[in-house]
Amino acid sequence: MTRIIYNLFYNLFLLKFHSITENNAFLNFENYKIIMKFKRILILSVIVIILNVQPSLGETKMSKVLIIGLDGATFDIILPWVKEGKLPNFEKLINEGSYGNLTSTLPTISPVAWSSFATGVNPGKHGIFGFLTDYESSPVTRIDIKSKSFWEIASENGKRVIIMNAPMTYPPEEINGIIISGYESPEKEIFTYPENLTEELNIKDYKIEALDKRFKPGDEDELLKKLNYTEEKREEIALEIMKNERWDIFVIVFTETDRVQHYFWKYMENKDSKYGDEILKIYQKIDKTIGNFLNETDENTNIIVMSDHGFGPLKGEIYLNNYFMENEMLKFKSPYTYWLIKLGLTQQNLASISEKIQKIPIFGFMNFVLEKIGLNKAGKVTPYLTFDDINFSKTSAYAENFGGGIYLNVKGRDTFGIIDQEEYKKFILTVMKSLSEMKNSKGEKIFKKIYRKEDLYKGPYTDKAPDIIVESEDDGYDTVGWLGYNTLISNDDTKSGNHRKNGIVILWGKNVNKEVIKNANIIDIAPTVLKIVGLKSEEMDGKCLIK
Amino acid sequence: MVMKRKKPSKFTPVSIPTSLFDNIKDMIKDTGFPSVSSFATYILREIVIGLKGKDRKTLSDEEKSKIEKKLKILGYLK
Repeated sequence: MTRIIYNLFYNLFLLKFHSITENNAFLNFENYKIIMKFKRILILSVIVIILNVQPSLGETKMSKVLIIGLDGATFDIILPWVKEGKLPNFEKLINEGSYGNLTSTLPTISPVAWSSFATGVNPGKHGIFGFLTDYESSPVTRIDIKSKSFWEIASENGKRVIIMNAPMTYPPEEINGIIISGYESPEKEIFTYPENLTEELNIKDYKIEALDKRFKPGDEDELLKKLNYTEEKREEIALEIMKNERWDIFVIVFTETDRVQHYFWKYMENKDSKYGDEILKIYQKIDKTIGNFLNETDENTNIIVMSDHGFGPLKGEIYLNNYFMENEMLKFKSPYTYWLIKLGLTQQNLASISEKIQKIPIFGFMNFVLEKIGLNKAGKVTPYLTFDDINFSKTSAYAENFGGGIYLNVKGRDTFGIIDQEEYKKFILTVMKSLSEMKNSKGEKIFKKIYRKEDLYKGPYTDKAPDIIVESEDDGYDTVGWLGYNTLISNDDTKSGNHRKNGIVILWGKNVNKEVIKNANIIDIAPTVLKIVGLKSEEMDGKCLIK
Repeated sequence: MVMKRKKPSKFTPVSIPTSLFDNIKDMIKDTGFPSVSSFATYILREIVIGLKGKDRKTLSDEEKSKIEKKLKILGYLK
């Protein structure tokens, strides 16, 4: 670059010089000496200016970033497969770039982790702590995120961004570029910016999410077919956009890795199983996609491969509200509910009975009629327990829907709060101690760590967080706040894989040194991306992963 | 004579009552905000974004219910 600009200036100068010398008859030896002296000074000045400017032209302004998000990808299986030569493109990026574990958020769930990915801040600042804004209220979406995403910052600074399938991007926002919203996008709604892209993608049969119905044992082949199709379509559309659109930042997230690991982990552990290689096959498909992306990008493109969390075997589900119910911290409105649950009229049994009944034609018809007149809603005709069934004026502690967040019912803060502010400090310690002593049927401790919200989060929205957050041993348990279970722990008959705190990060490209990355956190991605494209990230908690 | 052009500053002072400043200073201790200015910038930006509201719409009940359905399929809601 320096040479090109130097030559350009040099030639321009020579041209000017020649025109002076040719058109002026007064050239004598003295004038020639002055001009030659002037020429040297001018050339030297131009070189100095160019050398000072050149780094920002070559390394900052022109650098682009492609971020390939692989939901739930883990080095626990990637590195052995790389060693065996099964993932050649992962191998290339790992060998030529830098890589390491990427610590996720707590709770280790998609809305929280992807919001930290986007904003570079901890949940105390972006305000997302679970799937719902509050217990059994609205599902969280992009609107609820309180901090700016790196693509908003980049867009405001004139960078063109393409954001494809990143979770927590619905409803799509107006941006300098394109947004194709992620898995939470509702069916038959506009899920893109610009809006007309939705219709185009629908015509091309683009699928937002492969898992379009609740998975049951027996659905394996159907799910695999859908996962493969969805991944292929996503790659196809991404390549089309890469070729036809100008961009500085391109984010694409593949959720197929998460889905296949949730439902096929047990098969991978059983080498004789018909489905033993299905997780590997999805990773190989992604590997091929990475190869195709590499062919489509130029030498100015840096690549970041990352995941929002890792994965491992699922030990079981912990029904925290069963624990609070048994310890008289959670009370139902009806005095019979407790006994019905104890007698076996549990959520699991009701779900199974309800499913069988619904298959009988007359009940199917009744269901249709109830839906039409608006009665078939949670807490009304359906037999499932909801948070409406809890007597909050007699409840001191309860767990939220998913992810291990526990709320204490505090006076002056919560509508029906019963714990005094002075009593709070003592009560929270009692609950934490009691949870820390919880054991499974083998007598093993269930929780590795129990945190108060202040231990994990810092920022103006920390008050909205659950009072206590639990982290299970080896992250092996799904900790849920569902109601109507008469056991503390049970096995999920569908899922066999579960999230782990360690995700992955691989950095590759001209701005990246070859090294092992240590202590990387999901909040570090946003400042890293902004630095590569020459922007600052003043208000982010994360650090930049490149020098 | 060549006049040096002063680079425009990216920041400008805003006056707030001293008592409010002291209150904020106490409030942000151990919150991760390095200064009262950074806290004030953060809050004001949030308000401005909220007021602009150009692309920040609320969800309709139908959208909420469709998203809940998706979360149920994925096993994240019962």
